[in-house]
Amino acid sequence: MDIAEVRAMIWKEQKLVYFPPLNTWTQKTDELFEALSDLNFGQELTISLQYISFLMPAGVIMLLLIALEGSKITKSAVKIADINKSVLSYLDRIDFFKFKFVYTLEELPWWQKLKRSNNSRRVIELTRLECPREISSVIAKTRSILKEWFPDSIYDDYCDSVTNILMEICGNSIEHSVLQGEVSECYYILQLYEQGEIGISISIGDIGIGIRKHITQMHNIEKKFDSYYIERALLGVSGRLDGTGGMGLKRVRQITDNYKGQLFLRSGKGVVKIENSKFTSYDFLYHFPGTQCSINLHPVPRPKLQNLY
Amino acid sequence: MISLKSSEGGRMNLQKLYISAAAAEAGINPTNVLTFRPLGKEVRDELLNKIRLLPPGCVVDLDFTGVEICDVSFVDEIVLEVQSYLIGKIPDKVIMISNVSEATLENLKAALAWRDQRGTRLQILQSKDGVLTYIGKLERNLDETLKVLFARKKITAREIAELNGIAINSASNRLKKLYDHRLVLREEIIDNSGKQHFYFLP
Repeated sequence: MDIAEVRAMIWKEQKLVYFPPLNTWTQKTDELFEALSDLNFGQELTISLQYISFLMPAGVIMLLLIALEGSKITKSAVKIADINKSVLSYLDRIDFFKFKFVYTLEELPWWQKLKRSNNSRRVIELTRLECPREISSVIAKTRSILKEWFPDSIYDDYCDSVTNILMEICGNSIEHSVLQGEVSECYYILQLYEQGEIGISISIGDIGIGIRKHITQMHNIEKKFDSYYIERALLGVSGRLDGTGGMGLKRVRQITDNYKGQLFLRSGKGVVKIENSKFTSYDFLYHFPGTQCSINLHPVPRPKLQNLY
Repeated sequence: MISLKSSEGGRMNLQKLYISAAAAEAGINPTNVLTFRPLGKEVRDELLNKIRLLPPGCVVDLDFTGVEICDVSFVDEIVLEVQSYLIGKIPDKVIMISNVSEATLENLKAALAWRDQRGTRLQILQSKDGVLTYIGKLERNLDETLKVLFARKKITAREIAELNGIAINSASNRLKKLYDHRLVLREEIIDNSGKQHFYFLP
């Protein structure tokens, strides 16, 4: 351990970043990554939620992964501060602080804690996957909750479609987010929305090698923009070394199109959005590791509220 | 193992292999949701090991009872990769699928469509409510011939030629192609008219 490391351990420099309202991953996400770009080992990272009055799954996953990445860089747990009570209540409900790399000093009075009764079963808590053999059991459990949310058999295909999305994206994360021999991990959350258009919002992410690196393991493609690689992946290009694969993301895209849903796939500096079968690509300035996916899918026909669970 | 007797005395074995059992043997638990291509490869290997040990002239029924959903990559491995292996390496066995959920069937169709786009067209026999059918794309003349076989269960090139008013060579080619696609079984017979093949299905 050199002197700088010893000094860093004794006197920890504070680093404060403000988490912007980013329930979609575009310019605001890039500004956040810019604020994190000078984060160093030995600093203490605090993420302020001062400007956040609500969080959707895409925001939750990004907040969690930023905390994970921050803790890997600084080698200490990341603090979340200035949390609005309703947001804290939500974070508590989705088990946000069960992970060792993130914490808060803020506490909820017991009456503000959301109970895990049927009335609050509109969310599937943040779930971490790291072992390939646990994917089936975790997704089977999620699927049984989906069937409780949509018990009518006319929504069987919808439940199957959401299950398919989870299986494919989580499988990709677990298999492709690391180089051979490393242990991978991914996180996901599902939220059922009943106001406005009824539907499920799914967000899944990892901080692994990202799509560019995965694809270039197998294909000799050199392009400037990360969005190019994301688009290729969505069109069926795979970096699997044995030449198989590429079907998973294509299937996810097909399902999203069938349900006229919305898909965001983010990796490196790029984001690709698919809506109404149209691709829109964005490339930003700051890199964030791994791959993150956010999908909104609405059941057809639109269910009546009393028919949901 | 179920042993079926074909209408003219040849014996045909129908062997059921349960996907959920093969998945359990590969260490997957539960087996109602099957996902992750690398695990699919393990289950595929389990299935191929069992298929190799079966006697020639066997129809292997991959039974999906208990599997609610199988993702596109997994089903690609355990059905289409097995079929590809049979086409390339095992000439005397045919697979079919049964008790497949709608969700798994949709994923299988998606996998077939994407293989088709990549130029590796495959077809799979399916038993649905006791009726034999197939999924995947076939040329029209092969489709017609296969449907005749579905109805009759056993046929020769001569019979196809008479039925369709085509040359015996053409009929023979059609049946040979179906055999090469591993959609039918074949047995050689030698009678007064010489050597010929009859093609059959369960």
